[in-house]
Amino acid sequence: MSDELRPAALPPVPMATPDSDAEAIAARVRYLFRMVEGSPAAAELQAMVLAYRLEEKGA
Amino acid sequence: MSEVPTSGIDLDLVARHVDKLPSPSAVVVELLQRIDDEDMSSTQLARIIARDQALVVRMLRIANSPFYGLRGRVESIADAIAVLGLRAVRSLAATSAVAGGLAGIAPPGFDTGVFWRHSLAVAIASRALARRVKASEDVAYVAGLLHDIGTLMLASVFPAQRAAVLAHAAEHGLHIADAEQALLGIDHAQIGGTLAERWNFPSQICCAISCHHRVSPERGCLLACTVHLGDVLAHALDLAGDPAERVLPISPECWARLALDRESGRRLFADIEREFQALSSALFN
Repeated sequence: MSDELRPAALPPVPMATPDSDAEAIAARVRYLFRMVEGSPAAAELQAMVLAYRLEEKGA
Repeated sequence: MSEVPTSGIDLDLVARHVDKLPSPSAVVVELLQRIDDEDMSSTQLARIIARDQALVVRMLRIANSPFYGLRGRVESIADAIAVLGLRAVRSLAATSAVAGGLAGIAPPGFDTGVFWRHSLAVAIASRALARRVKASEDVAYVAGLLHDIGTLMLASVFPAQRAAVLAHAAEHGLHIADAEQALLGIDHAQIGGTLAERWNFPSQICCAISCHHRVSPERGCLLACTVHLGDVLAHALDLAGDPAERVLPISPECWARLALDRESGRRLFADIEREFQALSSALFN
């Protein structure tokens, strides 16, 4: 939820749009997974989501 | 009606304040109780739905939306069942029923758009996961749609506690369910499970709502595992339009059971996104 706040030290990374480049997409995916770092399951899912997003982009 | 306190919350207190949210109609409860009833005929389903004219109107509006590609052709519930099939109409009925009741709740300062987009995303993701593990798709869809109703109750009935939880989560970098446990001794999943029980929803749906943040397949509520992973995927795919979106801690046991590789993940993500974009357009535009 938008009001389920995260630490203020982590400013939101803009959501990816059709115009986003690979770097912006990767930054947003890293941001989404910021609170589950160190979890092997989360790391696997993060890699899958990033690959999917980049493939979608044709990068 | 009892006063709402400003400190901790327990399940008895939640149960005493259930009447502060609009109760689902008898038709909605019957639909949800029979969502997995393979013996229910088209005629029986149409008769149940026809008892709630507001539900009929909402269903026909959605059935005639571009999502189903049938614009203007569905004029009755019988038409909808004939054209879309019994299974699609049962899911549609559940979505319409929920949309017609709980979607009217708009607590001050609460982003209901993000809330309902996320709920729909979890419903669709849970259904896709249930399809993959050959579990009941309809039950998973409804459980996903309702998984966060406890959050809606917290925001509506216990706004002071919720504000304190949000501040605590922000200050300590906690996930919201952990902050709720730390401050209130209870989390929104347990609150939602209690609410669902009081509304006489099916027990497996109550269990899935109640356990979706603290799930263990060994505890026997496999539907909770499906909804938990549906919740995780909805966050990971960034579907709700929330700038501050974040992925929740993933149950290693549930994740292992899913056995997702990169190719099947790609197909699963694409299916979820395609269905979400289409259905959210039908529901929210």
